Amino acid sequence: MDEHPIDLSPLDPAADPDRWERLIESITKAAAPELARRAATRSVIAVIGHWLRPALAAGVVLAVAAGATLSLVQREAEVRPVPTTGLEEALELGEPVSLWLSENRAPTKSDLLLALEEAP
Amino acid sequence: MRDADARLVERARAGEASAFEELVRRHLRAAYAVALAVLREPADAEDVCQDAFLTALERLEECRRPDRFAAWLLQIVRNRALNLRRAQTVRWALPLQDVVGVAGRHDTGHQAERSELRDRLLAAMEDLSEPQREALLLHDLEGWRHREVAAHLGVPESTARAYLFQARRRLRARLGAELMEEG
Repeated sequence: MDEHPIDLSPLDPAADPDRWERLIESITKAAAPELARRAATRSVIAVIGHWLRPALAAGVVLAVAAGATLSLVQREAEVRPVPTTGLEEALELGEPVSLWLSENRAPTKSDLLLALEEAP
Repeated sequence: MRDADARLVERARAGEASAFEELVRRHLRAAYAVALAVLREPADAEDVCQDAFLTALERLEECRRPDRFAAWLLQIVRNRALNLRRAQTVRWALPLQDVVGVAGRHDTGHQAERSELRDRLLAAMEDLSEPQREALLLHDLEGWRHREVAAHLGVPESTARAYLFQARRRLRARLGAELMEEG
């Protein structure tokens, strides 16, 4: 194997530092509009982000407060007995009939006989 | 280096000029070597480098692995250089020395000597294949390791070594013959 490097220094682009710096400068100068566009876009995002952060924090606080309130209301609703005004109560029906209605079933013969016996 | 590249890419994406300039300073030499390997004309290689860096900046979001920015950039450089070469078929009909000679007309003294050496090297490199030129320039000019050259060319390390070996041998043979002719 030919292991000895060839001296390619005449091809070294940085051998002429002035020319090299001019090349770098020309690249960065040509890139300036795109970099400015990117910086502007990023600053708009930053402004939105600046307002978004407190807004998000406020939203989170509101959500937590709303959740807490909702759960309190629900708990109260669970504790308080709900007045159930069924059809049987509205019609002021007696004990065996209201029972049949609440169980949603038709009275059997024995139910009817029992009801007749118990009737005043 | 890779971590630093990733950070610089991130800052350049945000439009930070100093970060972009740092990326240019880090990778311009390698970009130039790849462009020169394809085009064999320093001025064209410089143009391609400028174009490639601007393209890279515009497409920075497409660089999915910012830690591998160099590999991504050099791919853009190579493609741009190949495109330019295709568009230059008429120009390449001229002998390389004639083209380079025009650029070096105003050089004097040491610069002229250097310019002549450069022209000779470039002319001698015409005998090499493109991968051989890339391997030679990236290894002997840019100081890349065999492993890095192989990764860039997408070939096994043994193949990259072979390219380098053949490139050196051919270049020495060509330059040696020229010197003997002059002597």
